[in-house]
Amino acid sequence: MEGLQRSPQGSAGYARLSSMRVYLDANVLFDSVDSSKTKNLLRRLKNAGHSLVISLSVLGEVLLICITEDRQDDLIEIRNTCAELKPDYVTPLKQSRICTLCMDKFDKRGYNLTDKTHIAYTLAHSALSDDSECYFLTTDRYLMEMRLPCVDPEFRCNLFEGKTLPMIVKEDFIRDRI
Amino acid sequence: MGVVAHIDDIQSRLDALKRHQVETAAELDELLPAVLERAFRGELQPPNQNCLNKVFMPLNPNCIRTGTNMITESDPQSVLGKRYTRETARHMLHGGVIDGNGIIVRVVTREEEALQWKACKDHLKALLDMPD
Repeated sequence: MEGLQRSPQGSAGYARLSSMRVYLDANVLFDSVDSSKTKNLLRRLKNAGHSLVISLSVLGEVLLICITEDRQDDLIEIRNTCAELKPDYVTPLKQSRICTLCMDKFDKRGYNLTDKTHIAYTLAHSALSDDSECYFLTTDRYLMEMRLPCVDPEFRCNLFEGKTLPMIVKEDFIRDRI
Repeated sequence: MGVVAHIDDIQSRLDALKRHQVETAAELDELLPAVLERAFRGELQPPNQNCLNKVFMPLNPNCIRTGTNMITESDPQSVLGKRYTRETARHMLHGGVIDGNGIIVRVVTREEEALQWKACKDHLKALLDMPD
């Protein structure tokens, strides 16, 4: 379970919870086009009553790639997947901008700002959500190694005080949870 | 076209532009006394408020610009349960969540935004002071 972010408060840990909110990375949506394994995972999540969430920045990245790489078929397929699975869509918060800046200052390795923005949406919205446990689901291995400032005792702010931190996870982790 | 001819062409355009600028300045100088005279006689109309609304964005974050350029106070929660459109999106001043059917299912309030801000305000100041 490399790269997973445990809650600094030591709350839920990895225990199974009744409700999960899974924020999807753009690559998960693209994988769902080619891989039935990925698509089935998303279906299982939805059927089990968990929430799938797509941020405006992820939608933007999907659209950008489909336009610039001339992938109309993928765009239609992703649109159909969204129509079937009916994820929630989240818009920017003031907090997401702050979280992006914070991640930028904290981890100076070569993570691109688009990925940081996706994760910032997850952090900002997770801090507002109810008791659901939140995850950022990606298939990018390098993202699994990203450290969130929120887990650093000397760097974190009070946004997740008393709350469970979202985690960056890959498909296998989610598969084990449902 | 050779380099010299090209420079000559640019120079002649520049000269024409300068002549035009001088003529315009002269016309404005002629116009100014007439405008001042009308102003002193109280004949100048105040600018149309609707025109100002087109230029200036409202300062109050609870104000929104509608399609008719009128500024109205809006309760962000008023769009809860409505379809997400360009119009309803304008009411989601602090962000929110739209479900898979395109319905606004959560609107973040100013209070929620303020709470988040409070939780990391000092942290942000420290971040900004941090060298890149």
